[in-house]
Amino acid sequence: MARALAEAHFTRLYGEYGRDVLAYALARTQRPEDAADVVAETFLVAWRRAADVPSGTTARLWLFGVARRVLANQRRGEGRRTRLAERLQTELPAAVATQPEADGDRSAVMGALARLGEEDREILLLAGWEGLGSAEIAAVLGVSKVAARTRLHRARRRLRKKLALKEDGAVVPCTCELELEEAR
Amino acid sequence: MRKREIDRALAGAYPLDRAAVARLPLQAAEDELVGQIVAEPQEPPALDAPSQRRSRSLRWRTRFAGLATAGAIATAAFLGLTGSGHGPAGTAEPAYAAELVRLAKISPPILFDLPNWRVAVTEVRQAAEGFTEFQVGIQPQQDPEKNAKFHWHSKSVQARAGELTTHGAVEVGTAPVLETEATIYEYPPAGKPVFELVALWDEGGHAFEFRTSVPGIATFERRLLALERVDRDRWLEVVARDLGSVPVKTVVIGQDGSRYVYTCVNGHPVHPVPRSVLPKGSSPCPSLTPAPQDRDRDDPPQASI
Repeated sequence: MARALAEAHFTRLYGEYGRDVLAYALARTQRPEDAADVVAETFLVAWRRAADVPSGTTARLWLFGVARRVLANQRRGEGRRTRLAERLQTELPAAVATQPEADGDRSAVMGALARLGEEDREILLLAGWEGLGSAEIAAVLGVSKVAARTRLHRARRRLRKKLALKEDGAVVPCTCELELEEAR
Repeated sequence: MRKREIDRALAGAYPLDRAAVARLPLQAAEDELVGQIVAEPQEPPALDAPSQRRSRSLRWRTRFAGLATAGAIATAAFLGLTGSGHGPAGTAEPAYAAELVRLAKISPPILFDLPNWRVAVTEVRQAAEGFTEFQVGIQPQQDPEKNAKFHWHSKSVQARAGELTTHGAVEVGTAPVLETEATIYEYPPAGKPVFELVALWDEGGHAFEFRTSVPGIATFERRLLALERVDRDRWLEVVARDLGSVPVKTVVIGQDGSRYVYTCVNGHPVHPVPRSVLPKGSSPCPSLTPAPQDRDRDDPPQASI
C-alpha cells in the first residue's frame, strides 16, 4: 500500500516537473543524450530520497538543485551514464527541435557567460532562464536569500562588464575587456 | 548596460522554445523511465536517529507548551486582542492589535532580512509618509553602524534628491534594490570612520529611501539587498514579534503645527494628552489618518545616529 502511494506520488512529481527539469538540462548541455541522463539521474535521486522531496512548488526548486549537482558531476566526468534513460536518450535527439541559430545578441551573451565563473553563470541563468527570484535561487543553491541576492548582484555586475549596448539596441561584447584578455 | 537590459539580454539568450519542449513526443519514453525508476530500491527511512530526534523534539515541544501558552496570554494581554484584530477569535489565525493592523495597511510592506536585525521603531506621520527603523546588537543607539532606516515619502524622488543635496549629500552611484535601481548619496564623512549612505528610488511616483552608516560600500550594498518586499501578513508577524514589548509610536501634528509623538499601548496613549492642542476630533492613538496641518518635515542628515 505504502509502495503504491509512493509510486503514485512519484509519477505525479514527474508529470508536474519532468519537462521543467528536461528544459533545465537541455539548455545547459551540448547533447540531448546528456540532458536525458540528467533527467534520469535527477528523478532517480528524487525517488530514492522521496522523504526529502518538499511538497508543492518547492519540489521544482529542489529538483533544480539536484539537477545542478548531477550536471556538475557530468561535467567533471564523474557521472556515469545511467542505463535507465536509454529510450529517452535515443528518442530525445530526434524529438528536440533544432536549436535556434545564435543571433548576434545571443552570441555575445553566451560568449560573455562562458567567460564568467561557474557560480556566476549558474545564478544568472537561474534568474534569466528559469525566471527564479532571489528567494527561489536561494532554495536551489541552499544559501540564504541575502547571499543569493548578493551573489546575483555581483554576477550581474561582472556580466555587465563583459557586454555593451550599441545605439541600435544590439548587445555586443565589450571590446575593452576582450582586448585586455587578449593582451594577457 | 542597466540591470533591466542585462536581464533582457540574458532572457533573450535562452536557447530553447519552452512550449516546444513541453510538446515533445516523449510520453512513452518518459513512462518507461518512470517505470524503471520506481522499480529501483528506495533509501530505507532512517529509523533510529530520526525517531529519537522526533521523540526528543516532541518532549521539548511538550515542555515548552506550558511556557508558550503563558507567553501567548501575556502577549495577547499586551496587544489587546479584542477580536477586532487580524483573525477571528477561537481560530489559529494570528490576531494583532488594531494599531498594528492599521500600521500594516498604510506602511509599505518592506522588511530588512539580515540575521539578528529587528524592527526597532515603525512610525507613520501620515498615510504616505513614515519610516521603519531596524537595529542589531546590544545598545544600538550608541553605534551608527547598528542602525538602518527605511523611509517612505509622499514627495517625488526628484524633490527628495534635491533635499538630500541641499543637506550636503553627494550622488556617488547606483545600486540595485527591490528589483529596481537606487541612486546612492553619501554625506561628507566629517572625520567619522564610517560612511553615511542613502539609497533613493522611485516607487509609484513617491520617494523611497534607505539610509545607514557602514564601514564600506560593500556592506551598504549587502544591506540594501537585504531589503525585502513581503506580504502584509508577514509584515505584521515580524513587526508584532519585534515590537512585542515596545509600544507603537504615532505622530500627530497639533493645531499649532507642533509635532506630538504619542506612545500607544492597546489603542490608548501611555502619557496624558493635551487634547486642547490637537485638531478637533482627532485621537492620538487610534487615528493614523493624515493630520490637517502636517508640516513638511525633512529629516536632517543622520549625524546623531
